[in-house]
Amino acid sequence: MVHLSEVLGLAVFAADGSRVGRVDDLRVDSQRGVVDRVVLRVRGNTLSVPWSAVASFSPDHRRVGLAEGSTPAQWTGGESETICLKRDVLDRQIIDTQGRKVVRVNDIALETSGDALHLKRVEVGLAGAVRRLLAGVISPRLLRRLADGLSQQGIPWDYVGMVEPGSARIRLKVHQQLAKMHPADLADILEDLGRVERKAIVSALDPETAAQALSEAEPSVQAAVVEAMHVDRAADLLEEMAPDEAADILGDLPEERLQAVLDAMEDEDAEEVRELLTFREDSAGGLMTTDFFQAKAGWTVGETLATLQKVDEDLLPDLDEIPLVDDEGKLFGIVPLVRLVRAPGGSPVTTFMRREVRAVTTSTPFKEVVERFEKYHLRALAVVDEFGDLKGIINIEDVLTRLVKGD
Amino acid sequence: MLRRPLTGLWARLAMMAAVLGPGMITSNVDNDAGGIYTYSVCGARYGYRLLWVLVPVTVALVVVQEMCARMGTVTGKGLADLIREEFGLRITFLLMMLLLLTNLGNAAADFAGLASALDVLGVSRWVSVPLGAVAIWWLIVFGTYRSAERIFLIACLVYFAYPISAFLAKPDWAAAAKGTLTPSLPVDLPGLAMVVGIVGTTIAPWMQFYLQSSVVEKEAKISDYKRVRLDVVLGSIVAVLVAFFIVVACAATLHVTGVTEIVSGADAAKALAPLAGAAAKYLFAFGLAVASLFAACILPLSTAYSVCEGLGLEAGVNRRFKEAPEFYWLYTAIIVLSAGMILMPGVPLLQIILTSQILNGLLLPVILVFMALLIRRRELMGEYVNGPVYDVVTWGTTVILVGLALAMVVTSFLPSASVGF
Repeated sequence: MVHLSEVLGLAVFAADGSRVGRVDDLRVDSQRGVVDRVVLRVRGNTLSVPWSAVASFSPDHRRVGLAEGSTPAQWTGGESETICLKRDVLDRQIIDTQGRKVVRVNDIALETSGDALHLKRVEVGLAGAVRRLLAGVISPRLLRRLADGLSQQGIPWDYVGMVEPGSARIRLKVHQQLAKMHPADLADILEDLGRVERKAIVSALDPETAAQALSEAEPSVQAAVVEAMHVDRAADLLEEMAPDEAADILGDLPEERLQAVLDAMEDEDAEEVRELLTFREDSAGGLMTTDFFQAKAGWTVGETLATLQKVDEDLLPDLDEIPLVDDEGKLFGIVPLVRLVRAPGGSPVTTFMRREVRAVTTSTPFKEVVERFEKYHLRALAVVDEFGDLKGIINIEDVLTRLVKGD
Repeated sequence: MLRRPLTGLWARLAMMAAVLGPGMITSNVDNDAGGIYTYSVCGARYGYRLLWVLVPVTVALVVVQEMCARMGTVTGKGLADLIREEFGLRITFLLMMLLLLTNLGNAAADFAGLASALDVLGVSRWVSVPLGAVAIWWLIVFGTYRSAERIFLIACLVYFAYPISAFLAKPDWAAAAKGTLTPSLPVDLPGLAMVVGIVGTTIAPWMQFYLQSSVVEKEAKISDYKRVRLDVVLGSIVAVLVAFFIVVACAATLHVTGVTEIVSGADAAKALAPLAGAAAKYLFAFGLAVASLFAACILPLSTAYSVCEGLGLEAGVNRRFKEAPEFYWLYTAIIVLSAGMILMPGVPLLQIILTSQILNGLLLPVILVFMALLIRRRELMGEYVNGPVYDVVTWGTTVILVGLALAMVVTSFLPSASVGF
């Protein structure tokens, strides 16, 4: 095992024993996870040789020997699909996709196997820091003994997620790994990153995953992220969210920005959000979602269940209690899904409903909403306007989130 | 708050209150034991003569703090983070060790402040310092810091006793105005050290790290930036105004009566006599004790945070001891060491306080150089890089401070030099 800190600055010698320069950086092939070029500093110029041209490699003897006939070539460093360890990884923040957190790189462990130099892991602990600090100051062997005694914290290379600030892209296979993470973990990661890195991650994810992650983040982070995004991209992302969540985020933006994003959104989504924005944040109207499943009071149980088969995937977590509306859209009652499942298919759905006397209006204060949830042991609560028209649903999660995050 | 963005006055005030904070809090912590004693000594020893120093210091403080707030808002990263990313681990480590050393001095100064405050009331430092140290350690490791912060901030209203006392003391306003407007520099070691100490206590290096991290933590958006800037500018001005009135109050009560040396808290307390009469010592002791505890809480915290941030170790009060062991050990060690320093027999409290502020003044130009280099990088700051005026003030402050530091070194070798304070 060798470390990047031991490799940087090593003297490079040609086959005839003449000194060529020093190791400045290592370029890696991120697909294979191996070093593919050595970047050299030669009298102020940056040159490079392929790893295959390296004949001997010995950090202990502080030297790298080149094979016969290999001459370093001019190097610009502009390739987009490769990573240079010192330039792009060392001292940067990376995402530990396994531990699901943001860490800073102190050193990088490499291992020779056969002809190749493999990337093993990124070091984030005290040992890596000590190795970096003392590299070249005390003898490599002594340093190794010292560092080995300290806590080793490393992240296997395969689990390293990197953000490239310059071009707002994520490197490596992180994309898929990030997309597989739980949105709440992804949200924690977003909260820990700087502005540029956040933007890079949010734009690298597909709008749906990004929307889920963002819904879980702190309100201030949500607003900061959306504000930094391109208007069209922000609109795509907010369309993926439940309208009430989109409204919460948009409500924190400055007026011009808010209008620009709303204009860029699909008319239908924008309309819902605009309506929600007119409610006070601490009222039932500000808490409810307008994206929910409702059944007609005239349906049979069978018809209701058949319609449920086709319901949108996003609504599945909130189907415990189904509101019934009459032909004019007025709230008629509530029927718990469990009762429908147990009922004969031909009977009218109204047989199993309860009259909803607990419904609140859009202007009911949050405090009263909470009391009602507690008093009647509710999991969902219908919200109506002053004419009794069903306007939205408040789910217990919305109440819980508001209670915990508070304002 | 309404979900719909409001344009009315109340909405503005509500938004202000939400973001108002980092700048105001930082400047309140800034007037800790180090500040109160440095300004008091300045007023007692030099009367109104050094008031002019506060004018350029205000400009520099506003500019420096604004730069931190801007970097925090634009990059979303702390100062130690940025230094690490742009200058590598070694430079960061050296800088962090210097900061650690200076802040150990600052924390010790705050425990010294606590000791001298309660000493006025006849409480032995053997009681006050260990109790204070355990209390703030407990608060961070097991308690909720946020709730304590509010109590501290309310207690900081005691500072307003100084302006009132200064007016009641009927100072010679003409002399004060002359001292504020006409620069005159005592060219000997104590005089130069006094100036460096005033700059160092007003623009303390730790403040820049603390402020920037607070701004990042508050998640200020770029569109919030004007508000953030207002908070920082107001905070800076309030801090310097308090300093100004401490100097005036001390000049008008102590200096004019021939008391030119402050050797204990009881001496410094006399500056509040025009307001509080015989109760001055209680008011002083209360104010100083609270200010010292507040700063003794924030300083070790901010130091441990910056060091861990720079070295890439887990940090933060919302992490548990097990999750961020280095952070909590460092925090503990700073408290133990700085409180322990005060408990060493025969330690002169005031000397420690003043020396630590001079150390601040010596480290400040180093931090300023890094800040000035960072904030001119377009790849970090985009359109928010420094303009020419900022550059001039930053580099000017740096050059003047380096000059003062060199002058201090030179004068300390002159045969006539007396030893510091």
